[in-house]
Amino acid sequence: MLQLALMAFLASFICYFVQWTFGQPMIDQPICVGMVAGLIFGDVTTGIIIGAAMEAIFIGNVNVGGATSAEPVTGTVMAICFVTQMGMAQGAAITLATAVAIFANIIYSLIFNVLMSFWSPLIDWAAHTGETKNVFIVHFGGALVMNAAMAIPTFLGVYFGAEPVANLVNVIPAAVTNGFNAAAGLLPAVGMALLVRMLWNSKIAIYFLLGFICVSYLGLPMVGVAALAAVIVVVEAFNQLDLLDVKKKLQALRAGGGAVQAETQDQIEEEDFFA
Amino acid sequence: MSAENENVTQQGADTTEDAASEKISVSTKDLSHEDRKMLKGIFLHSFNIFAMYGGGAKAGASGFLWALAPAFERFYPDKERRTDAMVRHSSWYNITSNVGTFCMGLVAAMERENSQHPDFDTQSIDAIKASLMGPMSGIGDAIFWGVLRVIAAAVGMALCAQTGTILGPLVFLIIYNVPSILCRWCLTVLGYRVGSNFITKLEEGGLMDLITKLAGVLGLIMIGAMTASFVKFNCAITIPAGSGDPVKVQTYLDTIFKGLVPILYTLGCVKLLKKNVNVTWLIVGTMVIGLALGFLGIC
Repeated sequence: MLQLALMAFLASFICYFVQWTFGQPMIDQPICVGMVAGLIFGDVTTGIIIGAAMEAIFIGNVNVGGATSAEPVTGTVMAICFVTQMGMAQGAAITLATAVAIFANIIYSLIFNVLMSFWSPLIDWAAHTGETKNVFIVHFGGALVMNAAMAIPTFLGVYFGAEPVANLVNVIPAAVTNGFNAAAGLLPAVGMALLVRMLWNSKIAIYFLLGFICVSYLGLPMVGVAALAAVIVVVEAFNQLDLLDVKKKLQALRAGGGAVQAETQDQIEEEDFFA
Repeated sequence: MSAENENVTQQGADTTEDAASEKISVSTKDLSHEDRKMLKGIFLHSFNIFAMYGGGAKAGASGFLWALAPAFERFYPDKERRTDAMVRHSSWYNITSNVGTFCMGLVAAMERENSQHPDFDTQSIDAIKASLMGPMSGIGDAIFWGVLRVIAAAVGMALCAQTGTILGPLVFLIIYNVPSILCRWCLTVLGYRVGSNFITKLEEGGLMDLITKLAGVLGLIMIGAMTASFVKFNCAITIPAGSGDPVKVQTYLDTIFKGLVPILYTLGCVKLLKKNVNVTWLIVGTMVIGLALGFLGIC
């Protein structure tokens, strides 16, 4: 059990450390966590399938300055450990992982905002010495401490959770498994809703429906949808730029009067001509 | 269109042309060797910006100090002045990682001014830094977290959700990181080259709003497509139909609108989020609903 827990710790630590230390390459997104944990637990395919399912749920989970609603890495690693090592059903693992993600988030905001506050006097010290190499030591030393602290819950979850989970797996009735699968199917809706809210603007909201129809009725693959979206954005961009131009001229016309009027009059005639 | 643009540029030939040429240039060819070396340093160090978060009060401070270390070393060989600059910058900093380099380049340019002119107002550096955080993060989060990451994830997930191929995560990483790293470099140079009034100009011209809006269009289409792909609901109830086979309720639902329940459920969640319902409750609620549907044999 200790070995499994250490492997899980390693998977979490790699994801966190690379994400935060090397410019947020998004390796802590569940789809990549699935790859990393899959490689460590020796079943990349299952890892990635679970990772992709978790990605759909947590895609709306935007990590800005440590203020998140859920922290999916711990849950994803645990789910992959339980499925690949203990034969847990995927639907149940995903639902469990989602619950873990919410709980883990509380621990993470504590680490980010409270635990690491004890490190901030060191930042001041480094600044006051005026030596950039002291900044280096404080910064990267803190990175090791912070990311190791963030991976500890994964270790504990596997260390203490694996045995009860292994016992439970065999006695789950079909109705519960169905329920877990239904929950796993609906959970991505919350993730999508978070994204929609972020970009919502009633004037462009209808494009959400367009994307939906492209897949549900037209069956377009994602790359096809992205290409179509790119065309629409370019068309829209030209229209909007024209509109912006016209708006500016109108403003100039209203504000200027007299002398400016003569100049802008020319331009408006030209505008008419080119339109 | 083009004729009229020429018209405009001719009117303010001297001023606008200078500004325009500065605005678009992200090349380092005409910069000095020292400049290039420093910008490369800032670019590389900027990857480590959030390696350590530093708690609520000093979030991002050590990262910013580390990112600007090449500039401090270069402009303040005198230790006393360097210490002064570093202490000034050991404060809260938070801009979306891959667009924050604009702020770093800009601060480097201002520190250069400060090192050359003793009467330079150092408060203006802090002011610029603070005033950039809001708009830069807003646009950076919308484009990188809201759109690029979503497109990358959509393509990646579509590849591997069923098959589990390693191509999925790899494609995801490539689609996200190539533009991200390019943007990081270009904005480092841009920030160093242009004046601090660049963002103001963008905002006044209404371009900032336009970019946000177009990013929104792209994002919403992709999110709609993903909703159709990844939100799953399948009603298991069947209705006995006299002599023939029982009819699945799901077939009726599909006739009304294909994917009716997923889209309604998602839009319902949006509505609740807008009413400031906590996300955690939505997730817990969805779990409970899913489990209940399974227990009752509806799904």
